[in-house]
Amino acid sequence: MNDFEKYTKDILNDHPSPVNTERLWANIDRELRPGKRRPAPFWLWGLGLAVVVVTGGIMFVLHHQKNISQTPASGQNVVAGKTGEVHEPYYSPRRHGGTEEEADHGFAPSWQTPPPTPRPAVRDRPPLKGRGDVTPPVEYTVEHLAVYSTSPLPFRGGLSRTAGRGVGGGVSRARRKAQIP
Amino acid sequence: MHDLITGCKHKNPARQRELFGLFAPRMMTVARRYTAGHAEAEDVLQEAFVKVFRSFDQFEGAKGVLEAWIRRIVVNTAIQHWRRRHRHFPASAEEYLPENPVAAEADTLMDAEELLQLIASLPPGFRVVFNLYAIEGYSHAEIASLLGITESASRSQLARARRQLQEAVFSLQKNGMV
Repeated sequence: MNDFEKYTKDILNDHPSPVNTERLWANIDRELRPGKRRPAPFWLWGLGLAVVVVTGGIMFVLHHQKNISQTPASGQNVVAGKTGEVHEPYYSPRRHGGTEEEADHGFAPSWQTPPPTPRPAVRDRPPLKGRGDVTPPVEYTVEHLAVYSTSPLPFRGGLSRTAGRGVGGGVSRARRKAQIP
Repeated sequence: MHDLITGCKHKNPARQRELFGLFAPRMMTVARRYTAGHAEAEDVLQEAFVKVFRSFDQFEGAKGVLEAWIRRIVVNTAIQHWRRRHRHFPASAEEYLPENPVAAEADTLMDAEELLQLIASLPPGFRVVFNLYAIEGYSHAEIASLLGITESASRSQLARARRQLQEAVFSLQKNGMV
């Protein structure tokens, strides 16, 4: 060891270096006690509460305005949209290809609504075209018959809505096949 | 000091904070000798004091021994840090170079900060070997074992470090900065 190294050793052994003890101690303390959490400051709690209150108020007002704009006035068969235009209510039968008379029944009370037209009995319908000579029971509906006649599975599609019919479009395909004379 | 050691053994946060404040500045100098920058030295110091407080149960002794114990942990942490960052020594490390004394005038004119800057300017391998041999007092066999190199590589690194320091001191003298 030469003089330079001895001098370096003597000088540096007791030389204090500047160090940010507060920041380093905070890091050390966090590593030594990881479960110790500093509580959130008061202003952060206030800010969170304010955000919740303001958001809730805005949602309440928007919901209230939406209810007003979609509810027709007494004797009026129209509603006003968000842009102010007047049109048929969404649930009016005329919007869905119904007649004027049906539209007039749109706001009629339930006891004034004419009863639905009964569906024809199965035995009055044209014969179904199915696979094999399976004769379906009379009390089955059209959907039951279609599934019964086209399902390749031994349990005839009785386990779930799509079982035995293939996934997707099974009902309409079965119904289409069932209606071919 | 006895209360300080006892409090640290019982993991008292106030005592641990006091111990850190007492030794951190001098241990920061040790960490700076092994690293190239202040931020890297702070990383080493933080990691070393976490080890100190976690293994304080194993310490038995008085104040002087405590400082030497902490210094040893800081040096070992710095070496581990260095090994993580610089896995390979230079390929020409086996070359032997004769030891060259640094200019005699420099040792009386440079202050501690200038010396630290001079050491920090060395390549990482040179810096670690120079620190371990010249300041910590390790032998070449111990350095070789610690760093996983051969003794001749340790000698070669030391000789190169000395030559580079000599050139740096001559350069500073030539520019009138020392």
